[in-house]
Amino acid sequence: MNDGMKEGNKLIFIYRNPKNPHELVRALNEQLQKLDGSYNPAASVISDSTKKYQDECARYIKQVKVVLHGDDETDPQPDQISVLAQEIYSSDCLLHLIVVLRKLDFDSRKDVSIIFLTLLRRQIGSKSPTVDYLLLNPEILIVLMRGAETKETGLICGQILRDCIKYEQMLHFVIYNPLFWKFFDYVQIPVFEIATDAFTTLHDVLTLHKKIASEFLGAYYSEFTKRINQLVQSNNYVTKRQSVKLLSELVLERRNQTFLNAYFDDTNNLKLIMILLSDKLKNLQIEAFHIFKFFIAKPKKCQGILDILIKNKENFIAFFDDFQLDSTNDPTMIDERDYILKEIKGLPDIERIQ
Amino acid sequence: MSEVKYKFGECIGKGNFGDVFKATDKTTKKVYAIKVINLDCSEDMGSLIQEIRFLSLFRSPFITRYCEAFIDDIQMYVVMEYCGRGSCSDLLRVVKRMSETLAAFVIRETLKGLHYLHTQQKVHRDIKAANILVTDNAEVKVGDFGVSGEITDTHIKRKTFVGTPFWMAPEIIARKKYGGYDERVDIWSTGITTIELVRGVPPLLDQDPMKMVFQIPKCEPPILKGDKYSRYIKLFVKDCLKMEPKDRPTAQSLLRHPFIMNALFVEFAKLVESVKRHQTRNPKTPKVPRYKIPLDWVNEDDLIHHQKHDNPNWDDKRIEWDFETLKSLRQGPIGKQDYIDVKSSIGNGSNMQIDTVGVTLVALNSLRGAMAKAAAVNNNINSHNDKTSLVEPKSPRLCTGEVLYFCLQRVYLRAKSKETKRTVLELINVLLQYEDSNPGLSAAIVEEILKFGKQNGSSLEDTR
Repeated sequence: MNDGMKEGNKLIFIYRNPKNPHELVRALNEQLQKLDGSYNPAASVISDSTKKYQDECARYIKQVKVVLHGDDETDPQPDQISVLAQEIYSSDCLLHLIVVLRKLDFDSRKDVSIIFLTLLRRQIGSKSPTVDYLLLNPEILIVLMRGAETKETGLICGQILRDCIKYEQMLHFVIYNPLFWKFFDYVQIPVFEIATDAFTTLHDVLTLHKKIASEFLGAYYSEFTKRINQLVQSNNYVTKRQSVKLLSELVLERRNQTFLNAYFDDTNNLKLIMILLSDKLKNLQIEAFHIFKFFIAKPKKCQGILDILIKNKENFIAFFDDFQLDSTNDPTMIDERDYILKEIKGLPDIERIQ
Repeated sequence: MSEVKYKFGECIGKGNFGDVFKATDKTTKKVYAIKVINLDCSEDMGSLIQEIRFLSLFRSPFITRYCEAFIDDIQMYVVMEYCGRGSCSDLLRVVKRMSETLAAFVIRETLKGLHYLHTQQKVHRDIKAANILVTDNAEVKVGDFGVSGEITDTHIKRKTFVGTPFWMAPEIIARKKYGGYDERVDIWSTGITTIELVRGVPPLLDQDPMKMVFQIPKCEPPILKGDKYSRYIKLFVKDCLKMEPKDRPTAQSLLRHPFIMNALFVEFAKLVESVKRHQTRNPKTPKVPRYKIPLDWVNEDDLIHHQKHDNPNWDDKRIEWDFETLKSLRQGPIGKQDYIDVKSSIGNGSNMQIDTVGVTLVALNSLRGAMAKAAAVNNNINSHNDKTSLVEPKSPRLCTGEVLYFCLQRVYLRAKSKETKRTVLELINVLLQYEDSNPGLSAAIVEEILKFGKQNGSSLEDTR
């Protein structure tokens, strides 16, 4: 019986197939709306009618993909793509797709991310129409930024958002939006892949466009340092290691000068890095080392930092004398260790602060 | 995480990164394979995380399904679908070699899995019988993505050396000559695996793996010889094992190969059934895991197999950092009245001039800081007029050298006459002067006293 039904449905679908991109987008929007209305998130099994809308959406999304990418038989047609894109912008189809994302089936979600990326990369002369559209309709970016809050779509939203922030203006929007601070919570979500994906986004936002990031870090030094230091002290090994690694990347960037000056004058930072340095775990030690070395190398150290360094001079000497780097096979690190050891030995002893 | 939703059973596999356990969901009773990876052993944690991301975006009946991952301490637990009959290499251990129709079935399902992976822009990189898994229902699934990597748009960016030598495509070994590799390395490995299934062993097995690595790109590709093999399988192997990657067919097109057309599920299901009987009669001895997992997670019956070894990473030798800045000592919670004014004491009672003893003001300040702290401690105790606690005050955290001055300061406080007090101050100043010219001197003295105390602790007490 089921097979017969399916066959029948199929015939109707073929009959109803949208003829042009304009109709296709309209049909897709319509089905997305129906799916959105019929989907019951509380139900453990999705109802037949919801499944039907889901399948319809999946089919239209596939067709949109074919218009954009072509298939085995046909190559993509620029004029068709242009009509399709125009219709997608004017009907807010991207917003609908993102809002309804979690109600779509597994493969369609991935298709949406492909469609999004293709449109994003689309260029007409020097213009990127999708980028312009998104900047005028930033609510899409807001939904994407909150992606991690939904288990089913966290990864897809994360991927799309990272594609978006490759464009400076969108990164600027994201980094200065108050929701950005939420990422420091998202990276601690218990769902492993969502948390680590959110971290990847956090990392990209702070490293992709150096100029924007350095202005941001300079302006929000205290808030950022407070948040990242919380992550550095996390009980979760992955969060801990990723955040130390991110910090070590940020301090390596010369453009972050304002941030760096503040960071390396803050005794609390030194304290946290020293605790990590003496961690029993080798890789945490090494990441911490790559930050610690700048505390030592900074030419004008503030008194508080000097005090701690001097107070622990003997500890440091004992520690670095015994700091094994054989496993890393990294000659620069060995040089750096020796340099640090030399600098520390040159520090005045406790009673001789100059 | 002290509570975990799985009960861990025996160790069913060991890999480079970690162990694989059979585990049961406590509520649903569903069985899973859980891969345990020690993260601190991995320098490149980022790629492991990336791997999990990819896994969670794969969904195909021909690929072992990722369920979830979690972290406990420094270990990552990756929960995967469990394939009850183990790998095809386990099957080969029982049946020695497979017929062509059986091999065709296994390879067909493998190709379906590879086709899925390749459409997801993913290269497996380690296809071999041991990574082709079989469920209780005789379904075949491609597993162990431990080393699989994403193909990039340029198709030539892979630089890492992964895989198992006998199954490795020439371009993985001689990457420079070929300029990278892509998903077609999996087709080569499928060819080698086909030989492995029907012969029981991959070609060149008798050779030293490391020597062989260099031979693969130089030699003619292996061929399947002998009358007992059909022309189709010989052709299939030949098509897969083309030296030039571009000449190899795609996974999708190989699915239409005449050899694959021989695939027979029914026969394979029978084989799986008989292997199952054999495995029940001769159960495998569980492996001893390399890494420790919390023992209270483990099923009681399986506890004996979980070595109670100490984690080699555990080293309790930790440093006690001192985070009190001198500044915080100077401006700390101690009230000004608690400071002992060394300078004025000296000035008042002795003919010794600060400048003549060469103690810098800053140094004095630091001494004063330390002393003030000590004084604060003592003052507190003194205020209770408790003599025993005066002898053993709670020591503030001082660096080794400072201990000397801390103790001298206590002597100063104990001194009854003004004369003695001044002598002690002179002593402190002289010591500071020598410390200045011989940094570490004070620390050395304290260390020696402590050492002596440790060795002769009790006798010292007695002779006093």
